[in-house]
Amino acid sequence: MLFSSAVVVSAWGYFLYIGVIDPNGGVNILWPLFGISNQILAAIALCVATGILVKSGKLKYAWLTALPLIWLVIITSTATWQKLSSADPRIGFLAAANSLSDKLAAGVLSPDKAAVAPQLIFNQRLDAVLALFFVALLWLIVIDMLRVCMRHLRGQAVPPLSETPHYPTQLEEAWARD
Amino acid sequence: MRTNLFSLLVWAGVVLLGAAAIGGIALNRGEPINALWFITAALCVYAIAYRFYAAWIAATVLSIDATRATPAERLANGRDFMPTNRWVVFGHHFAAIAGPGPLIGPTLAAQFGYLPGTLWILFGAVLGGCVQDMVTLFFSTRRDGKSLGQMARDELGNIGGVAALTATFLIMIILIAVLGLVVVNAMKNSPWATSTVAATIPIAMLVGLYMYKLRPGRVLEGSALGVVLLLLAVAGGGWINQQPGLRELFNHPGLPLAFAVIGYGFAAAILPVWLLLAPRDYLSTFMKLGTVILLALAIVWMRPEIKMPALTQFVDGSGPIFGGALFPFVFITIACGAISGFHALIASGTTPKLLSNERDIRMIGYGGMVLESFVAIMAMIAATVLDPGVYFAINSPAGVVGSTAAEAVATISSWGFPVTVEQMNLLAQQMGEATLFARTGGAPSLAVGMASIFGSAFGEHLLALWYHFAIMFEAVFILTTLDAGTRVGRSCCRTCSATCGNRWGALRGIPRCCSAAPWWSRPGVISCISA
Repeated sequence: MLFSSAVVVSAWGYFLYIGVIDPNGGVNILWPLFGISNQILAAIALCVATGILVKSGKLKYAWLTALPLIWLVIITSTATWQKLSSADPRIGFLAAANSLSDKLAAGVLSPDKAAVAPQLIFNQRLDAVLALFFVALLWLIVIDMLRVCMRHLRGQAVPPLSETPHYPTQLEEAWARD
Repeated sequence: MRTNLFSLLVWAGVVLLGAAAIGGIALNRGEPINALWFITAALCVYAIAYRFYAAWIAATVLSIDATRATPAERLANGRDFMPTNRWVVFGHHFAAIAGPGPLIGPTLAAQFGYLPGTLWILFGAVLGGCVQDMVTLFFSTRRDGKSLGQMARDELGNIGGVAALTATFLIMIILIAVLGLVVVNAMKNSPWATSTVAATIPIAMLVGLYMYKLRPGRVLEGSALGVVLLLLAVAGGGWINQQPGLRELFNHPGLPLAFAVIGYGFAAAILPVWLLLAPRDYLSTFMKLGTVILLALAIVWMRPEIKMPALTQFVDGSGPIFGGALFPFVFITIACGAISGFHALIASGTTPKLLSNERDIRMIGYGGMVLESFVAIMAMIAATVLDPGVYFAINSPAGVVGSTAAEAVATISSWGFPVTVEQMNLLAQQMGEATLFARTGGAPSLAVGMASIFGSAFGEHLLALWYHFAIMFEAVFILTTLDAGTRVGRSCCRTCSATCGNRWGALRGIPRCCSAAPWWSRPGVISCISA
């Protein structure tokens, strides 16, 4: 427990440390990455739900979860694309890393900023890799869900529904109802 | 027939009122708009969505079956599985999903103006976030309360399972780091905020000892004690701020505070849950509901005017608070108030194991998220009732607007949001802070917004108290998330390292930690609450 706690605390502690030494306040780096990863987790949940709806023979209601899913895929993919490819150092992770390393090489940074610059450059590149990894995960699971749904609709074998059988409730639950 | 007609008329009225309020918010240009319209629009949208959309999902799409025994009934073991009063489950679910996210996101997204964020919070929640929470809760309830990762593996295959587990772990790490940063920025060089936040730790431990050792099961006594002590801590921080010697003890720059937060996170994660995490989780639920209701009442009472324009020039991506254009970044920045994947972990965690009947899924899954979305609307109002110049001066980092007060004021005024150094100094003095320039992270500007609403409703001379109350209010949530999130991450980490394979059973541990180990799972507590 001590070891795994230490691993987890150092993982978030690292990002916190980078955020604190960042002269731009850190929020600019961390919050978009958090938003992207949180929305991707939501998309994964909606993917699972859409897959279950289709497999339960409720294809005509699958839009209920599929529409928010499509929207999340669009916004997270666009945001990640901009975070990776934008030439504006305030948006693109890689652009920020390159602009900072140019400044460092040109020697225009004040000594205290120059001291932390290598860490910030590394962190911007790490963020780029993480964002790309998140989106790759999302596309992987979306494609997997579509594959399972197509197989189901064509009548091919898919993992069976894991719903538990119906047992009638025995609860005399006067206390639980109002 | 008469009741049908009556209810038809009432709902037609709600639809018209909601449409008028949204139309007023969306089409209004130039004239000042009242915050009351935001509350009206939100309540109408929520009422319609809950009454019709959620009811249709429950009856037609999910075919909710009230005669079916839930996992809480069939697998009741008195520990994780236990049929529980639906209001208690609602409270637990809300406490677990409503971290500080819905407060910070809207504050940051207000740089685009009030309109984009407000519309996304309202419609993203009722069409996306609430649906996600509700269907995840339903599917997990029909599958013995299995976690999202397990469901992904069972229904889609191993690829889905691995993706869900990895995403869960990484999102936790980043979530904790960003929240830690918010609390560090709020405490930076502020002895009052630092001492108040520090005091919440021994207070939570004292409440934990009281509820579990001194007088087991006396939940109400313990929480009353906790709330009184927290309020005293806010006032005590003000006193410390006046003492030259003590003041220096709590006056630190960012880096030492960051290491203190990291050290705290480690220590808190290895303490027993009942001592620190559970009592604070419980206290913060009271605090959050109480404060949000008070804020809503103050807004209805004071009817403050929104000073931010509907759209600012920063929709093109040149915003000072964070870079990036309106699309897609407003949808990324506001996560928790509109749609949040974190909720799926809770809805497939403890909540389905406590649910006593499927018919409560609509209220808990959909209704819980509606309430959280309302919290986000409150945060949006608190950010936009500030003068835009003040809002940008607090939230813009020194690297963007310049490191001296004069430079920052000149840059921000040149954007068309006039602000003066004297105005900022006066505000800082009223709030009991040394400076309010470049206090990034969202928490300080939210606190200033809340303090100004409360201050105008309950007396201007208490501004500094309200400000630090708001900071403490946010910090309590954030510290809980640091601690609970570390536990979740630890559990993921052990699952990965122990097996690197398919031992998904260990995943079941996640939801329990996630929800900060329900305090009512002790028989003494539960009988006290349901009685």
